[in-house]
Amino acid sequence: MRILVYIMVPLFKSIYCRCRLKIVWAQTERKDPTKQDNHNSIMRYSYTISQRLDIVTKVTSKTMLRRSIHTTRILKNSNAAPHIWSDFSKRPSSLSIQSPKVKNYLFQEKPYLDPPSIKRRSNRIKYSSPEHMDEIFKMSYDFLEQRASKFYDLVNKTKNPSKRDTLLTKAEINNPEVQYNFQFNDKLDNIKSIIDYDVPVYRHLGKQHWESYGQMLLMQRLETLAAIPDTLPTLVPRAEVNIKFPFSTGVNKWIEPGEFLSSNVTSMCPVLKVQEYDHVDVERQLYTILVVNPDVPDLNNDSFKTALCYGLANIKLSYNDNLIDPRKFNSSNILADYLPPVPEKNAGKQRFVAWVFRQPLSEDGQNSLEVSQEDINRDEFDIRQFTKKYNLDPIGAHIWRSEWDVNVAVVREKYGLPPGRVFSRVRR
Amino acid sequence: MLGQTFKKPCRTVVERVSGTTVFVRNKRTKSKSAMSPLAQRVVTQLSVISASRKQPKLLKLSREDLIKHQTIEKCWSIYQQQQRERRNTQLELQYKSMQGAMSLLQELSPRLFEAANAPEKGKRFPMEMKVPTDFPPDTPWHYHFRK
Repeated sequence: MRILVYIMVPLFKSIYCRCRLKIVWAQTERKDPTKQDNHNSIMRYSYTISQRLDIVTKVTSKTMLRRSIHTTRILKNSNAAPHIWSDFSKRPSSLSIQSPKVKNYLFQEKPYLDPPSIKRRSNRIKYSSPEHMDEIFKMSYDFLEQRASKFYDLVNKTKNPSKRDTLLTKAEINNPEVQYNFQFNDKLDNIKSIIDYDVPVYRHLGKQHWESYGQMLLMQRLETLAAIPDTLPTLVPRAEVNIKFPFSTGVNKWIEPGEFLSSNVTSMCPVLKVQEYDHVDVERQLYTILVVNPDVPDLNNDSFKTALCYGLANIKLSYNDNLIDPRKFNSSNILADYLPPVPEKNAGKQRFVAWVFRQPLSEDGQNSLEVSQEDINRDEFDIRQFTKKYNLDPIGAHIWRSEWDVNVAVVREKYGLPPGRVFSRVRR
Repeated sequence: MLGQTFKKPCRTVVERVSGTTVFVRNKRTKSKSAMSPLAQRVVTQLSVISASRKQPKLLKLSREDLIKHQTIEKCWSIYQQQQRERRNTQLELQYKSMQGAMSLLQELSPRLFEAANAPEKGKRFPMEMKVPTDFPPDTPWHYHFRK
């Protein structure tokens, strides 16, 4: 009698119970130790009810009374939606993975491939990816792709460029190919075919990556070394600035903010990389760069004064081509030639702060700055007054430190500077 | 003085340095518990395999599989978020419709509105009421039920 009822009830409520029966079946199967690994996949549960009715009758009524919280629902088939992430007719090619091996593995066109990122054969053999990951990945990919296509529809309707950027970012941020490209490639020395900062999503990811560490480190160094407010009152960082001394005397690495550099390393001019992440008018925007040293001893006032070490103006940058080295500018861009740090003996540690400014945009298209030579007083440079006068907007900074070392005399000779003073303690 | 302490490593050494007492603690050699070494060994072994020691296993994924994993996680969180939003909007609508109905009732018949809003302090859910279930129970009727 009871068994009859159990069979009858599902028949009456056949639609409702469809999912329930599947769960019941899954529970019975989980008890079976030989088939324990099967419960992972949703796909395995899709059996017809008629095949499984005999199991249902065996299940105790306690299991039956449990409320069905988990329901297996088959997601809508997304064949109708366009495959927006695999269409590169309108989207830039940097949104796809360049390596065909990796791409093939990710989308498993051939099943049972080994991951190409594991180089050694023995390790490849040892490795096994989580079970049923591919099926669920495919399902998730379709879900996210479908969602992305909605954002692309919105993009076509909006005109506002910054809103378009946010929508394009939202459309691509969950694309596994974009994530792969960004996570496993060099973000600073980016290759344009892989990480293209012209694409809003890469700019967004780059900004996130910078904010997670680099920006905080920079601000900490600027504040603890009192570059803020000794040079400019404060900084709202918007662009990532990196410095390198790449010439034969230098060190071929990106300098960490606040690092001590020997006078030999800094004897040739630095190369700056200014990475913009915001939406800027790349065609019109020009940049000014000033490197100042606020620690020059001023004996007359028993204090310190600021010296200008390096000044560049009207530098044009783009999102990808943003390395400012001597090939990038000519003599018309130079406000002040590079004077290397030559700290005097016993004058202590000196800070060298590089500031990057956005120049103001004017309506008539004349954006380049005409700086009069009177404003550039190298020995006593007032950076606050200078930025105020020319309406410069500080967007980024960098700092390094120098101290007297044995090589200072050589650098001084090279640049035709007078021999430095030697300070000594004075009893008061 | 240090040499002295190293000669007797297994004891708490009490030294007198110019009148003050200094305790030097070294490696513990005496067993803490009074259990026999065999029992202690069993206890140690059991504690090692006990559930409290079991950390969730770190997933060692290849780069590609890590990206797959992240995609799945992202998809699941978005899906759940959508569900949550849908439920919340539904609840909001239900609440609004309930409120609308009550305000209508208040307009139409203040007396009924009063009755519907009568305070029910001390009134509990009736114990004898059956919890609604999907299937009939094992014992459909309690023949000897007394209130």
